[in-house]
Amino acid sequence: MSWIARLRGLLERDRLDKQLDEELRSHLEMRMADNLAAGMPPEEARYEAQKRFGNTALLKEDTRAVDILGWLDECSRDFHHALRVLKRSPGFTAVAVLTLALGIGANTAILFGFLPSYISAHAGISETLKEGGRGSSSANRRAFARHAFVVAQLGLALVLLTGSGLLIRSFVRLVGVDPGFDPGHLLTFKVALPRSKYGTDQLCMAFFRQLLARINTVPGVRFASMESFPPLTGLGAATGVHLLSQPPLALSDLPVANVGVVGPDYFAAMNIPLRAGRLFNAEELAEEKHVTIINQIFADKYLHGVNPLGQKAAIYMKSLAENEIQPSEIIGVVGDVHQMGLDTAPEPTVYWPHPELVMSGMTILVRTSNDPLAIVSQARSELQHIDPELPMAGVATMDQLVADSLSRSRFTMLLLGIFAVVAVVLASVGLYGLIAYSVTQRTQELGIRIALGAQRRDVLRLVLGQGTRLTLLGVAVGVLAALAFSRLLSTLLFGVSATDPLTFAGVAALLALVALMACFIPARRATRVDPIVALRYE
Amino acid sequence: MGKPKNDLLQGTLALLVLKTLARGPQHGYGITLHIQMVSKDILRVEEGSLYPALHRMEQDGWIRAEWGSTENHRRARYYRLTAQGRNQLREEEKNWERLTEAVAQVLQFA
Repeated sequence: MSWIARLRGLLERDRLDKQLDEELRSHLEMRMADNLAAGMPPEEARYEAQKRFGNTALLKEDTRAVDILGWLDECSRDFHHALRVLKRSPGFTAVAVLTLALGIGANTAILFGFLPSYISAHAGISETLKEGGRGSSSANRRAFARHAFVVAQLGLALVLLTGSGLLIRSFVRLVGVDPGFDPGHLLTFKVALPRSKYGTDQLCMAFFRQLLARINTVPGVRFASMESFPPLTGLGAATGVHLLSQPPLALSDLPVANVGVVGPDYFAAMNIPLRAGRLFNAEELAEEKHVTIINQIFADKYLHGVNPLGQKAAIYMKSLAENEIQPSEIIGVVGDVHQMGLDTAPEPTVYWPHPELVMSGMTILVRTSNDPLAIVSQARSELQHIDPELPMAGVATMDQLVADSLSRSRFTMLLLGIFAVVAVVLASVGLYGLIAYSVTQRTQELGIRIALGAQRRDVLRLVLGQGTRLTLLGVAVGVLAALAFSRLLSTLLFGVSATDPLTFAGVAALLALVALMACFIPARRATRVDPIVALRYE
Repeated sequence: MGKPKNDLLQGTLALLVLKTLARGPQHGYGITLHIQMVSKDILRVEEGSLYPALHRMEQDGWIRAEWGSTENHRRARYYRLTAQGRNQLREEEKNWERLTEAVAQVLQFA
């Protein structure tokens, strides 16, 4: 029962979200109305109602987590994504649906064509009487249709196999991408300070400083740091940057960089290498000193070989008027990190220590010597020691975040893979059925051949020859179709061309092998035809 | 069924909510008010745990929700006990009795 409800939850997520919003609002309003009725002044009535609710975002997150549980949630994201992908690549969807339809159709046709004749063949001479031998034109036409079906099935299976082969290769490439930091033994969780309680930058900074100091004392913790937008989780903040050594440009023409706000030991905790200059010192991490660290790609793309160290950059984050911006001095260059995801190239980034842009919501990063999840409860108690009302949200290891960032590619790959396997199975069954049927039909002929001295090898070659011709035809049709279709997949591919010869050759060989194996079973049976029995059919 | 659960906190909230709903359909806010009132302010249901719990129970099929309007013509989501929920309530009541008995015994003989 609950499965159905959950499944429904997956499919109706937006509607559920809206419904939950409305439900919570109605609750708030009723509480407020009661507070007013109890004689509270309106401001206080609202405040009290909201206070009881605590962190609404968190409450919603918790409730939603129930609506869409754990791995199911991930599946839903994957599933939705896969559906979107299929919608965006109508060509592939058409091929997939067509294959299944054709596969089922063709196999039904073969089965229904095959069974009655099989039965009647074993019943005696009725087949010969009804069909008038193998030469009748209607039988020929039907045989042609069956062959065409099987060839089409094989071709479509090859198209799907090619698609999934390309996706598998991309995925392998993707997994091999260096994220730019070391994701092992890294715990992440989010802490969002309510502005009602931490109204000033000083309070925010003091809170995080204290939290990181406390977590640093937990046994097994090597570095505790924080960052505004953790990598691989999509868009962070980005803005225009004006390097003062370069001529001023209109705001919209300025080079753009991601802005990352980081805590002490950030680069050490993430294991991001320093390429030039130095990291933030204790003073710069404690108060605003107008310094910044850029990444390598920023230097390469915007400074074209000019030494970045000591340059001043106006970062349009806190204001859009240059005269209001205190330029930051570039003190260091660090390695590049994939911010958007492993499949997106690293972007130019400027890093600021927390005091430069005090944010109230940060992701805490804890580099541990052993299993990072082992310190969760201690980290939580440190957090609640400072402020018992603050929740620890989004607890995950960086390894999990990396896996999450790959979940879409993984699922697309899986989905197409399943389609491909089904298509191959259907095509092989179809081919098997066809050959088996033809062996039954040719029992008499085979019997005569064997009686006349044909060897097992000859019979095998005869039957397999038929299968091989069909297989090669199917593979040829499939390769042509896949060449036309795989371009549609190119947006999903990473580091591999849509016409990758290795993939094409590999899947063609695979399909041919499976198809020939399917032919081999009836072919072997053909060699066992007893000429005496076969001839008695006449 | 399987062995009795010992998820005390979760179970207690579910028990309180189920019992409240046994009196008739009620919305989330009404549930908190009722529990608070009947327990003479000793038990306070946190909104933060109420809604996740309500939605979990809804998914488990113990309660069903539909939109309705309050006496003051305000739209609210009303929860109603299902047959399965009634069974669950009986089960939870039994569990609770067993638990309190056990605690009482420990207190007596400890």
